[in-house]
Amino acid sequence: MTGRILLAALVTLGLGAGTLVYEAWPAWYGQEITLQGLLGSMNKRTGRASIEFMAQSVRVEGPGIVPDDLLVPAYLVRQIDTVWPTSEDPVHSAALLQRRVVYVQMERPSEGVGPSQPAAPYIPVSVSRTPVSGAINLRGRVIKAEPTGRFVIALAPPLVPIPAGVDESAFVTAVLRVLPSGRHAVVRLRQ
Amino acid sequence: MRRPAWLDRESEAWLRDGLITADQRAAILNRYFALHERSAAAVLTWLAVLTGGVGLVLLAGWNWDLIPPVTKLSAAFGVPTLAFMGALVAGRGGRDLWARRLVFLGAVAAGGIFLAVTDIYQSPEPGLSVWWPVALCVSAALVPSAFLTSVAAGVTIAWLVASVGSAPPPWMFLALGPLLALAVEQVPDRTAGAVVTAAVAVWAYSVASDTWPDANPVLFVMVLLAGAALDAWAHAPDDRRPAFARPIPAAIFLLASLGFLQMAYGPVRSNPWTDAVASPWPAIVLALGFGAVAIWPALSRRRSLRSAALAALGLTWLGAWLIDPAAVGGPAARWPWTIAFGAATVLVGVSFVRQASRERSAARFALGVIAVLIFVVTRAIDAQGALWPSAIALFAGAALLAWLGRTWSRRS
Repeated sequence: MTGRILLAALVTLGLGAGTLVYEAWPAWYGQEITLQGLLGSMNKRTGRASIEFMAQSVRVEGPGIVPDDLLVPAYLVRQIDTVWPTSEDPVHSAALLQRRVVYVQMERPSEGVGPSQPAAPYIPVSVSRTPVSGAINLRGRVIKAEPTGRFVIALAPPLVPIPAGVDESAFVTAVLRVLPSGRHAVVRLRQ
Repeated sequence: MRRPAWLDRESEAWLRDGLITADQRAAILNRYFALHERSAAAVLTWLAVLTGGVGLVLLAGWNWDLIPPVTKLSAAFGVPTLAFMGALVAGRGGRDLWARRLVFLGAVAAGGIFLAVTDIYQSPEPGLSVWWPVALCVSAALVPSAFLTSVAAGVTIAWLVASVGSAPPPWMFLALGPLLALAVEQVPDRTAGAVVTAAVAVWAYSVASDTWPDANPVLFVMVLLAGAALDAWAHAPDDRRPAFARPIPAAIFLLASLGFLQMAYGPVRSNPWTDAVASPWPAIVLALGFGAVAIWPALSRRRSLRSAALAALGLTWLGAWLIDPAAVGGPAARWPWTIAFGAATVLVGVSFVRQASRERSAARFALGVIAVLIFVVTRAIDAQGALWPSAIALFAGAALLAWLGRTWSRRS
């Protein structure tokens, strides 16, 4: 009996410790990048706010896609492999893309960055179904897809600590740490 | 096996009538486990442990957001560690019941670790919460108790439901299911078995919905196949029946899937099976596996004809879908399949009533009546306001219910 209890304890607490390390790993060992984000509703009691990253909204071009009037802001990115389903019906393709895991490759824009200027936030340049070797990949799940080729990807985390002196709906720069697998964590925010 | 209440009464009458001696009566009764012999105090202690655990969660949740992460993690790891240490001490002292209760408390409290980590790191991964069911199922298999197995299966169901619609499908259940089955095998219990049976059926639904989120009939075909397999298992000979397989939950999932399959043909769906979010082959293999489990007893020993017939119907639908989606989802396919599933519902109802008559089981008779009511209600709804088809469905239902009542009163 005691051997079984000990094994149950080791498995249970081991799984807990493993989960903790797994979740903390990107913050410990990830490559640091910055993203521009917009703070949403704030909860002053908990000190947390929702955040929407500009890089979450991307657009692809391809056969079957119906381009819209481009009023909705989104980064135009290329497809490394066939992320957008090749169905003849773009509405059906958009439905198929929902809930899929995708990887967004991020790069820092070259213009406007000099030795004396702060580093510009990274922007998405391409999407793929698997991580691209040598690139900075952000892993996310598609939460909204439109027949126009625009889709929104959920990136971590949904809630972030509110930085001091920042109001609701303020633009902030988020410092993330990203693993080669695409898993990432927000380590701090700055205005 | 649990001692039925009627055996106590009847054996007393046999003793009074001189059919058996007092020793023989005692020997007969000792072959079964009497429900009333379970200590009420033991049940209350289990409830006390559960209530205390919930109280701990509420206490932590009271000011959760203001607690520093280090404190949260210390408490989250501390409570289960203390509970397991207490279980070890109790186990060494030979107090097995207390050891089991403390393992239960430790495994349940371990949920706090996963909740705290998810909260602190704001994990976007929906699969994270799987590790709590894993910890519970491992603990249930190693230090089984009916209460822990029931809670482990219940939390597993919650995880399966939460993962519906998020690929990849929850294949981790391939490990959790056998652990739960092993736990029930060691400590047979009807409630625990019922929850594990339900977990298998919910898993089947979850796999299908994570593979084909937009093709709704196949979700219920998968539940039908799982229900047929569970029905076959539940009615297997004693030496081959898994302890977890309970007939009533299996029947409930059979009837629910048949009800939805009749309704599924209201909005005609014809999405091809290749429109899958995840690879469709594992789900197809799983469906074939359930079908094989349900059909094999009928092929080998001419038993479980009900399960085999329902599995054959489900596999026929699946085969037609794989060959040509229009064969199951196009307008021309609507009525043949609706009639097939409707007829299956009625035949299942008749089968339950016949079984109820043989076994004098009120629960199975109730299932038969529910099957007929499902048929009547779904036909009336599917008629979409057309009065005469609804009226015909209701007349047919009334005739069937009258027949059921007559059959039951005659057999009783």
